[in-house]
Amino acid sequence: MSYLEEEDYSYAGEALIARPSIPEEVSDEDWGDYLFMRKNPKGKHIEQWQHSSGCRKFFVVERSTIDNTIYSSHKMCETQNRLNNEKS
Amino acid sequence: MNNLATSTEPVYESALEKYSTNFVSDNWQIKETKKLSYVLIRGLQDDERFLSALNSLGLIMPEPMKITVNDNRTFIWVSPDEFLLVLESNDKIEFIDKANKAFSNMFAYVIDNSGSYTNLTISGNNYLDVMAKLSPYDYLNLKKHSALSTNLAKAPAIIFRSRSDSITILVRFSFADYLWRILENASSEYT
Amino acid sequence: MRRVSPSINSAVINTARPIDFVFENKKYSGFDGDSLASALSANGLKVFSKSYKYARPRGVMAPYADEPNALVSLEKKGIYTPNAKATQVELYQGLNASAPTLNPDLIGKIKPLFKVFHKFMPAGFYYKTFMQPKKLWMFYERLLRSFAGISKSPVDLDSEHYDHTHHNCDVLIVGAGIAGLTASLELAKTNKKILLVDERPQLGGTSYEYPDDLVGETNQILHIKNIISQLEAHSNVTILSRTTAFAFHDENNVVANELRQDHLTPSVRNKKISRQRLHKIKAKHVLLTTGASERPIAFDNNDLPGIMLSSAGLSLLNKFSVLCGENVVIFTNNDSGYTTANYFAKYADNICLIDVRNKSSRVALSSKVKLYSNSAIINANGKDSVKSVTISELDSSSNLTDNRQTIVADAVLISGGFNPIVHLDCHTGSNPVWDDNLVAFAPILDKPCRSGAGALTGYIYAQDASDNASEQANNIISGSTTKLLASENYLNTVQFFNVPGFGKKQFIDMQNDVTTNDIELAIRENYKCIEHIKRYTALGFGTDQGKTSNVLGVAIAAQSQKLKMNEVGTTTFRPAYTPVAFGALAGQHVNDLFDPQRFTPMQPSHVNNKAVFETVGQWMRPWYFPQNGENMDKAVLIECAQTRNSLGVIDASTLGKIEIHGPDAREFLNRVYSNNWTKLPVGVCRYGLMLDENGMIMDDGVTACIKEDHFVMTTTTGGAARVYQWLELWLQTEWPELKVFLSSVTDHFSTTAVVGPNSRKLMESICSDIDFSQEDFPFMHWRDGTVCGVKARVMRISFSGELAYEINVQSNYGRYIWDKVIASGNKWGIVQYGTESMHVLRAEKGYIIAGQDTDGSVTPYDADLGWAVSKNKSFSFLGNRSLYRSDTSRTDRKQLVGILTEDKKLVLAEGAQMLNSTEDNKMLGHITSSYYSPTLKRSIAMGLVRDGLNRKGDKIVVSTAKGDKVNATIGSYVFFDPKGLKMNGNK
Repeated sequence: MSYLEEEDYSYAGEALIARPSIPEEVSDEDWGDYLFMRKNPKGKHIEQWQHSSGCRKFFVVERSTIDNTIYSSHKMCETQNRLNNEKS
Repeated sequence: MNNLATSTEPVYESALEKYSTNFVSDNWQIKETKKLSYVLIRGLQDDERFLSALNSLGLIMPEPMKITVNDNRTFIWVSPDEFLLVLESNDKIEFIDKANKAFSNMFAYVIDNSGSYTNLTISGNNYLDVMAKLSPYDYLNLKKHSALSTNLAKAPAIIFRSRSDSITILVRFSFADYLWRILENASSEYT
Repeated sequence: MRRVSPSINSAVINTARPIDFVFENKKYSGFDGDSLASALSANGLKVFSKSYKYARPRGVMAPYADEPNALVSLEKKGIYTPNAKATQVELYQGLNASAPTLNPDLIGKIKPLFKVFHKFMPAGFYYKTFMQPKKLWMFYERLLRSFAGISKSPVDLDSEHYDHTHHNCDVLIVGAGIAGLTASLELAKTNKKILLVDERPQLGGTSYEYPDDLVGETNQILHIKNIISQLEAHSNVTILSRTTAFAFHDENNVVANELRQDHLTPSVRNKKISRQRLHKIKAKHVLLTTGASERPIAFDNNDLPGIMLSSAGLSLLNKFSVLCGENVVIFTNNDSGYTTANYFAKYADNICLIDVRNKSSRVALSSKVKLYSNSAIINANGKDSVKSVTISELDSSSNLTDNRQTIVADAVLISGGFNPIVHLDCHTGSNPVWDDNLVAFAPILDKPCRSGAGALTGYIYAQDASDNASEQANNIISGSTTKLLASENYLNTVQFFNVPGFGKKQFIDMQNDVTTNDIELAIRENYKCIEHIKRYTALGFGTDQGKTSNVLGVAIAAQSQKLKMNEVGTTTFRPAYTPVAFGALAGQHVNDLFDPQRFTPMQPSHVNNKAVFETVGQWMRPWYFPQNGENMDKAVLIECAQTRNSLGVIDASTLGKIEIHGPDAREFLNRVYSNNWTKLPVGVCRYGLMLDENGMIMDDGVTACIKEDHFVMTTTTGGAARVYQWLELWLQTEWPELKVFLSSVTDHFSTTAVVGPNSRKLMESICSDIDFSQEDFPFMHWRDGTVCGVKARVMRISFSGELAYEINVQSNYGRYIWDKVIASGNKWGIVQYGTESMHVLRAEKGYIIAGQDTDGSVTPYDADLGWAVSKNKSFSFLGNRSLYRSDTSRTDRKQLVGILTEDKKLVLAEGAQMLNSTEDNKMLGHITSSYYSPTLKRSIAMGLVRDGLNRKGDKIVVSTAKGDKVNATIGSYVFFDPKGLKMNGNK
């Protein structure tokens, strides 16, 4: 990260949270988990960022919440493929 | 400034109409280019049909963070599915018409965004020092025909280099006055 | 104290250029190159301040940034600078400084009386004493505040200006002492881009304090001057002096502040150049060569003026040619005391060296020096400055013996060891570790692309520092790593931090009068953790940030608890390394440039037409248009009345506009809005309500269907960027299969809204290619055409409840259209109106403003907008599921209603709380919008009330800020034209 990244990119929350495909079948409690409960780890966090001042694309980053080290970054479609593979 | 109601013809104004936006000195030069048209082209950079449609319009798709220039037109990569074409005002209507036809039946679109941008070209001995005050990006290493979108001070801007000794800034209309004053502030120690 | 002949090598003063200055209203003289401290010392001044708690006289103690005592206020008014360290202030012609604690005001004069109560005012005094009774706290606070601090806070605006700049370099080297300079030259020979920064005016760091230290055969001053001239010839090296790197952030982002003009007389400063400049540096590699600073040894009365660190004495002598005493006593636990003694032997009459160690030093001692081995100073004597010291022999366990004597001393120089300046390395979250070779806390330097060299890593002597710096520079070039810390105790330092068991006034922290006793007391009271000790005693709290006191504090805490230094550890290091002016942090982003002021294309006309502006987010929007000096209330009466009666015009260009293209555009709208878009035909617009996934209203606006695969969405002015990001988030992360493009065109279109019964007539007069008849151009439709010769999209939508048309043209023609509309509208008495009238008109009609009538906790049902929630959509749109949670289905939720006060003239305050009655103070909700309605000729309000929709007709009371309770009735929030006849207008 640098000044450029701090100013040009926006944080967009924990990644890999899939919206329930049929929300009506989800209980209030599970829906609440989807809305509010997050892993909040001390250490590696897989999260979404947007290049808001640039290409406006969202992507996925593995970052340390302890010292901001960036371990890896991935295009959003790679992550979605991974999610879909995990589901099946 | 004048009341425009007295004019019988439509009056075109830039966002910086109240300033004299052409300044020349050894250390700092800034020039506004008015009355250009800006057309957004949306389409997927990997879509073959989109690419050939572009070619039929006389446009070469730029590499990421680059521009292609031909026939007085500058074509700027903004994102994997967004490109900005800078062209003469007189050509706009004809171009949009042709583009709409070329893009019909495909997932590609052309959008007139001409009112959105103010065009400033800066150069001179200290132009990189001025840029350094406004933005952390390493403009010294911004090669010719490169482009980026970022913030200058707090104004969103698209920046590209058509020539090796100057930089062109496209700032959003509503931020132009602010950026002009920031540039005045940043350049004053060199003029 | 007196001036001696300057050493040709190391003196930085220029005796050919005298400087006149004023201190405490007295005139003095010094030289170009002097610091304020050295010039005043040369003039014999010893007492620079009186301490915080006990008002004890204090003098210069440290050489540069570590100085805790000699704090001054510089200049006055717009150029006033508080709390400057006299050791860092560069003398300039006409400088005017004062020492705020020397001539205190009335409160300050009381302080010395506290000396008597010293016993009763140990650490923790404030915590224990001024807590009860609680209601007196405000008085205590004011009392304490008058005791606190040193300089007074500035009250005038800073009259100078500042700026920021950015750097991208290959290697940043922090500190231009022998190590930094050596490394820079080594690296300069590659083609890497090098940035070298140093806080001092001259490059060379502490070389000036120890000028005879050799590198090869050359003394280090000549050696560094040679390096500097070579560096200046390299175009890939940028050198910034007077530049303090004060913050080290993750991933090699360093912030440094450059004092560009502080050293110049204010009247000759160049007004076109910033006074200070903040450098934001991103480096591929950071090499820290920040050096080491000396720590003292504590003994009874060690705070008397004249008692200082040996490096302070050497700085005065070798740099500024000021001899600090004739009878100099040096107290040391390491070899550098011997080096110091040798320098003073050239000038002073009597020099005594008190060494706590038993073994002989590796440094040969001048025969002029009287050596007392195995001894310690146990007490200093004197009233306003030191006159003598008492020393005691030590036994083999370093305990005091009875073998004591008194030595005459007018200067005492203490050398207790050297602390590597680890701060920057620690800013990124590590703590330094006690190292037995360095006998100090050493930097970890464990982050990638970061290293250190020189005294920072234990290489104290010039030759060793130079060799080590070369090695580390070559490591950067080759990419290899070698051991960072020195493996030798070069100065033979022993751990001796204070004289054990003698005296109650062993001062550890000078600025906050913290003694060894205070630390021991904190531990007895169970504040054992070093972070607690710091806060309980105020150790390290001052403007010197504990630079000379932190390590001693740790040592006392370790001794007291029989722990090792590492078991106590240090407190957390945080930026800034030394204080930074607020102006520097703000840079050029002040006043009008603080945040972008965004203008619409009509701005020049608004100014011509006497608009008064208000800030809406970053936009400057006309608020109201007083034509004859009337106030806002009067202007709004006129604007609203004329608009409803005839014709008004408002600039609506600031609303967010997003183009939505793609075969899945309609489906996308169905997913992000609560209402249904499936059947919206081309040519028609619809109000859209946007919910977050929590079911709460987040934004709203009108969206138009341009083509089957093309829509234009508008958002609120303030929500534009947020909504755009929200939409992209869902499209990209959750629904990538949807073929949709989103493009912002907020700045492309300008919008002139023509409003009122005569708006159709006006449109017909300026646009001939659109049929404005009711049949051909119904409400909530749009048409393309030409207005005054300009291609335009005209939308018939209304936020006022009147017949209205919005003319959208390319921004560059926006002002032309605006002026034309006004000129054409004059025949119907057109008025311009701004945001205030806009708010009133929409409130009369009960149109909500997202963000004012909603606050993120209001569902569509709460806002009585259930009609905007579609039950027929196949996709569960955003927010839908949340509307069926137990919480959103509650019956006592706050619901949006209209509130009419009994007193028609009374306009309620927005935010006012509503209650059932004056006796029942259960809060029912609050007023969200409140105005005087010109149309209804009475006050109106909207508010959120528990179960409000079921309580229409109920009487309630509203609490005012003064405490009055006002009667009001709950009703509908549509106050005017509930059937919407005017905006659907047939005529």
